Amino acid sequence: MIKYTIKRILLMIPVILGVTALIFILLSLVPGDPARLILGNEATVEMVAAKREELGLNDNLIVRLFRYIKDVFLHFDFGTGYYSTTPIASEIIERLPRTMTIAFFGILVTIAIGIPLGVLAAVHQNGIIDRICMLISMVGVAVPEFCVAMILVTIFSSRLGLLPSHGISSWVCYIMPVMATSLASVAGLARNARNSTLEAIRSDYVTTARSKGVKEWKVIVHHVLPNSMIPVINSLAGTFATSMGGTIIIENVFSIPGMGQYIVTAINNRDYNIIQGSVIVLAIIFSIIMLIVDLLYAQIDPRIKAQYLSAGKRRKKVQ
Amino acid sequence: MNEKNRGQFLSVEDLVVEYTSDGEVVHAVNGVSFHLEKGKTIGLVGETGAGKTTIAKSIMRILQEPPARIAGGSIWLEGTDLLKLTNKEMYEVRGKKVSMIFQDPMTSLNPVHKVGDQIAEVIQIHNNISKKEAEKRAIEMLERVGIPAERYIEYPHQFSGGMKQRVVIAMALACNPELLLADEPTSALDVTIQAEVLAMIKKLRDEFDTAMIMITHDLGIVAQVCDDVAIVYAGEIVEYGSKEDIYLHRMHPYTVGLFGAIPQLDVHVNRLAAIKGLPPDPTALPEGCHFHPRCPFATEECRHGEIPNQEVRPGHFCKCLHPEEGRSL
Amino acid sequence: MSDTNTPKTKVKKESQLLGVLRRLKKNKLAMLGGVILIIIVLAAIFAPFLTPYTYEEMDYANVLSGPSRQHLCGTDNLGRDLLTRMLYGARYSLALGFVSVIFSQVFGITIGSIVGYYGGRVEDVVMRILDVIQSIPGTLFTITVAAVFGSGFVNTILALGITHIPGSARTTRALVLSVRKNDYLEAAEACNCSDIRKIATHILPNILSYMIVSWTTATAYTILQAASLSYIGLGVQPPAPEWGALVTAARSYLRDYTYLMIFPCICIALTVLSLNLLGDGLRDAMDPKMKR
Repeated sequence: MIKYTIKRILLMIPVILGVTALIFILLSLVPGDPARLILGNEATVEMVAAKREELGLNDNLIVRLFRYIKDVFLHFDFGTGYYSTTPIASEIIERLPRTMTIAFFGILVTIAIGIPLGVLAAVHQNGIIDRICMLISMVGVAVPEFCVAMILVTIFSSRLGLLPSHGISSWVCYIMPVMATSLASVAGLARNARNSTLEAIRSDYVTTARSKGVKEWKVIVHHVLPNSMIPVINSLAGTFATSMGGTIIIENVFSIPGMGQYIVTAINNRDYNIIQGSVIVLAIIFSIIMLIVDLLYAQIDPRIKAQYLSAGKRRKKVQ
Repeated sequence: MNEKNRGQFLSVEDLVVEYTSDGEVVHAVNGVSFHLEKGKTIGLVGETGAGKTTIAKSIMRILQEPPARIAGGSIWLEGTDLLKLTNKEMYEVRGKKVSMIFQDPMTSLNPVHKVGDQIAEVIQIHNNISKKEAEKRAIEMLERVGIPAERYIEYPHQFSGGMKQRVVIAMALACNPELLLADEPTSALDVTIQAEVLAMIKKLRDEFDTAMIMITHDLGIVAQVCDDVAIVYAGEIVEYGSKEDIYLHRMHPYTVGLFGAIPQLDVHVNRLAAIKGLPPDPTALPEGCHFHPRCPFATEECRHGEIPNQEVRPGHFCKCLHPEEGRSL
Repeated sequence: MSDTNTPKTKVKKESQLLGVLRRLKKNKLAMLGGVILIIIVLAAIFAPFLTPYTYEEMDYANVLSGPSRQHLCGTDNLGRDLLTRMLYGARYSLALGFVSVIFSQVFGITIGSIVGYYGGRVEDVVMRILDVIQSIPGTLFTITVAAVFGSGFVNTILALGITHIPGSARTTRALVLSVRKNDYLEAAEACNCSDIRKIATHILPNILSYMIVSWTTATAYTILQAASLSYIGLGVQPPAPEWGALVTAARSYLRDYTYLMIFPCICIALTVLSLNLLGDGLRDAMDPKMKR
């Protein structure tokens, strides 16, 4: 198990480097000269040329990429924004916890509501609970997160005055953002949980369990759920991605100074250095979460677990 | 049938099962009756989709309802009608009095539980014993089906098809049931393994003195293990009798057709006789005798009305207007 | 074969696609989705005939007036008729959804089927690149690509199209791999079919039905993403009446003129909902076993 974990961590390194390279190359495709952007239209050609030299923009792409990777991974230095002297790294350190708080509680709420909802719907297939669950989840996935956020603001802040519409002054401010990020993912996860539970309920081994005289609730808990949760856990990484993506957009509705707001402001200022750094950091975090989900997944599915536990001492199947 | 049969060990009477799918009603079982004495084996023989598995699942009451629905009939096991039992009472029957071996061992074991635990589970449910004790007895069962005890902790994916089916057999017999339903227990296995598994079922059935319903489309298996045979076509038993009745004095044209589809070494034929046509669409069964569109001997009267179940010889029933011995298709 | 068996043979002969459509017709929710979608598409096409206004026409006498006989969905802060803007907006949102999905599918299917069919080193390289892209959360990747292209209708279509190529390639490859194992491909092999012929006549038709489902859901997802992009200042920007842009424009008037936000939200939700209903219905129709 430990060996496998280490192997997986080592395998993550090329992926993270790949992400960095990909984002770097993508953003270097942007037309326009960063030096010109920084100095503005009034700057003379000489000034721009000097700035280009200073930024190292005259080197070729590969050289710049390696320099960037070295700075980021050895010195945790993402440079600064075009219009500010604050290092991007320190901005990220300040903002990331806020984004992660929303995303984390978002996924917690999602799991706490989505999975039970989906399982309940599957167990009472075609019943009233099932229909209501599915209706909610159909609508839930159909409304963009920022619309949900705006509707929440209208109801709870503008009309009822119960919750603050923006800022991060207290934990209360996080309630609506978490609600807004989780709605879409609750809907998605509930559908997922329902489908995989239905599939498990219909499978032969459940019929076998019933034929043994296992009580119905025990059939669900002991035979259906361990199987139906395997694909659900596998999909949690995707759910987290949705949650994280949602947070990035929603932060702007609630004026929360997190990564999302940082990125969006940078986009509007065309500050590609900031976009680059932020996206890379979020992608790394996402990779780590995918790794955790994978390890969890391997832990509960004996078929996967066996694949690496018995890698060396694989025994032949006995007829 | 009559009161006399309710005293039998198992008596299935006028069982009717329907499936509803997309608004269409599939008539899977249409008034099936048969009975079984303690310790005997009956074979249900017929093509795929004839309703054999549905009959077995009805006895266990493990049909998916909906879409399935037991629309009529009764199933008497030692004087109690299983169809009238509450769900709670049914838990006591399943696995203890009646148990089942399924067709596909690849999917009938739970992939996330150890095979041993899956056997121990049924033992623990029906016997008031500790988990340790149940595990011990599960190991004994494993060894009885020829699986070494150390494989208790392995998972189904580590087993081959034949080994899995042995586990399923061990599970089915773990509580010494009075009735065993074997639903094509060997048809998903390699030919070489089939004989082995069949021999094992036969051996254990004799050791445990269990009555058995063997569902199959293989007349060879019937010859090896059955006492009585029921030929099932389109959800009905078209011919029913002792093994000798069916093998030596078969009368229903469908039965004749089934035997015609078996190659025989001692008779030279250019081409095996197959039954012409396809099994009928169960949503729209032909009127009259359901077999008449495929039957070379069908006459005008076969196309209409109810076909009576005639007792052609003592204990040998045939649902045909023109039963006759010794003909070929 | 006798007469009574004819209905059976008819069912057997029915092509896969026709069978799917027949089952789809019985699914009320899916049909509802289909009808709503057709209405929205027709409304987008015939927008000029459905409204007396143009989407840029300002009526200073009726600024921010709520829903009335004259303006069924009210007017915005410049006195423009919201219903008209939403009708024209449907053109943007639907075009964004459909065109970028077609764009991504063309490339995705090509890459996915080639990679899935030939395998080997090319597959390894492509799959590693896809792995890398997959380790960036979808929304974040879309935002990044959209930031590279900048805002505007064509740029957004390109950005959304490109971001969905990896997913489409991945799905196609998985489907091709699952089909490749089947016996009928070996049969085709035995008949000496050329590779292109095998892919075009044996593989793609067999996975088509699955891909149609993924198209409907991809379109729904793309429309949502396009709206979100508008919100953060990418995507299609005002004065274009794209639905996401309409919602965004309403954010200063949330308290007193909620209808400005609600109506476009309903448009987005209805479109996405109908696409999803249709997609679900198609999936059930293709796999009748699942519905039970």
